[in-house]
Amino acid sequence: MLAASPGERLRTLRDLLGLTQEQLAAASGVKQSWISQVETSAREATEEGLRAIATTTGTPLRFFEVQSSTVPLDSLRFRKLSSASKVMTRRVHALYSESYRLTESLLAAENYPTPPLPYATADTLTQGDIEELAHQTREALRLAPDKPIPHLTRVLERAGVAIAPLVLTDDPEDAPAGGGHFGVSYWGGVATPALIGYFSGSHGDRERFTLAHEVGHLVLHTFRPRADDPEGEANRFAGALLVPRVRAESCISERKSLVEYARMKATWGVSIQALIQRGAALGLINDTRKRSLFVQLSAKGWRKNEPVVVGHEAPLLLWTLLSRHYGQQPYRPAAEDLAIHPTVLRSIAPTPAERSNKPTKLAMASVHQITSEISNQVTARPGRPDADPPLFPPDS
Amino acid sequence: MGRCCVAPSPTSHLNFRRDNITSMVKGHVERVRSALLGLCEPLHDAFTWAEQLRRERLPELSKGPAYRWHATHTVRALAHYRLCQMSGEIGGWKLSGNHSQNGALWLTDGSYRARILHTLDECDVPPPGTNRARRAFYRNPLLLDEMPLFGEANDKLLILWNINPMSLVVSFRVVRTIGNWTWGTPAKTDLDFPLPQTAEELADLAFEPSDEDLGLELPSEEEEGEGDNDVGGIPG
Repeated sequence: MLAASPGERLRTLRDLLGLTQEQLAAASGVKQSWISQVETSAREATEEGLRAIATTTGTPLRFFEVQSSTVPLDSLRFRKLSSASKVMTRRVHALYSESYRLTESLLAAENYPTPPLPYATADTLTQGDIEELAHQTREALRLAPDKPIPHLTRVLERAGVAIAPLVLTDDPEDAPAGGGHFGVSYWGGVATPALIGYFSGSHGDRERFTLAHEVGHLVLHTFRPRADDPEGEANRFAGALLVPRVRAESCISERKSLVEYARMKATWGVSIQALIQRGAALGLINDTRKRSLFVQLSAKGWRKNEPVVVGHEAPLLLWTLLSRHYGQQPYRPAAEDLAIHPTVLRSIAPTPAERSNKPTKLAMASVHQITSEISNQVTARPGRPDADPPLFPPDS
Repeated sequence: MGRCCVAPSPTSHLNFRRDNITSMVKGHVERVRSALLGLCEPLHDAFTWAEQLRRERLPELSKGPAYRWHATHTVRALAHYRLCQMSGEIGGWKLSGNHSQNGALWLTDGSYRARILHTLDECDVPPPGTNRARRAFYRNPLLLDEMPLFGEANDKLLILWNINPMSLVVSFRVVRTIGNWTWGTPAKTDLDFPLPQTAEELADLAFEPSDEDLGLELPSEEEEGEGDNDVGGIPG
């Protein structure tokens, strides 16, 4: 295996923490030009410089020594808004890749099974092909062929697909989580682990759909990386997985009103809008009907705020693996062992108490603290030569 | 009572204060509102669908006010067709009247009668004109502060529809007329309120994920004894 590149690792750390070179330099006392040159391989990193940065940010020094994840970055699949910026996408890459590296270690240590998912190989897929693959996926996940999925997260985790909530350190409260990203996933294929990362939002139905969409990428695009319309295919797969065709055909018709769609939402845990799209994908409603339903959704104010609450699903697998090895307060000891900043662990494996409330908000509070404290240092002690003590807050 | 100009919001529900209805007639409003609840969803659904279909099939009619009349007639006809299809599913109401006669779109639940009329301006109430039958329909007795002692309530109502040309959202307003008037003079109505988009209470509906019987199965779990608290490590 190739040795880790400290420059690449330094860049990854900045992406994880959302720090510019200037901010990191001011906080750590290391020159900005040094950081820049190390990142571009124009000069060798020194242990002293890396140690100053590690100490300042509360990152284990070994972070700079470990090899990045084996995930080929161009094979990552995203579900995101078109407005998501390239910088944010790069940061999501970094966060996901580190999460994948940790997940590989945790699953391998436990000898946890790899997912038995089906996979597509054909150049093009029809709607019928996608329906069939969704059916096979239900079989692989040990789900009934025609019933609502009671807890998609747990079903996937049981089958070996790890689920990780992702939190960017400086995600503002009022902006879309993850800078407009919803989910990201990677699976190397048979006998390799799979990880789905998602940015938690306010709607449980959106999270369920994001998970199903990412499963679609795992099944449809692991061996078809150049598919013409991967996002469209993954959306159709998500609908097929969550609401199997046989049930959709009996529930959805031209005559169904929005109130009836709302009742279906309470049964299937799928948004009204996704149910309408599902009906359209199967030809159960035509374009005119679809448009008239969306006009009514807008008129009712349901495009952004649908009725019928869908509860959040909380991941459990990574926390379980982590706490089995490191106890109920695992973040600090695990961060040293796994050579990662503890916030990443807190993000992808939140404690059960955090999960029962809004998991990401608590994690965000801590990382906000880090970045704001570093920002304070930037203004308070510019060019301070000595490294500061770790800024990371006490373990929970 | 004079004309009550209400600008119905598509998402609004009844608001007695805004609708300027005195406490004396609140009981009547509630009575009429309850009778109309079953119409909320079907009417909005049928007219929204009709407008979409009209735009798809006859987009030329959207180009300028000269064809607006034709677009209105087409939407009304398509809505009638849709409501015919929904027969039995319009909240206890059924179509009445002769649609072939100038596109009449009337509804009744056996007691109440309602005529569905188009308005260009959502504040207007079309006057009855000179047609005697229509003038008679407009002539409801004044509301009393007591409910009728004998027999069923049999109000004759107008349901006024209007389509926002930008959002394509259809809105409906219910009025109870109490006489005749001519264009340009205040409409004579004593009830006037927007028809809600949805009558059904959805607040209690929810989907709560459950992982009961979906416990994680850790491969090495059985190998470890109960109470084994060994806290090991994982190489990074």
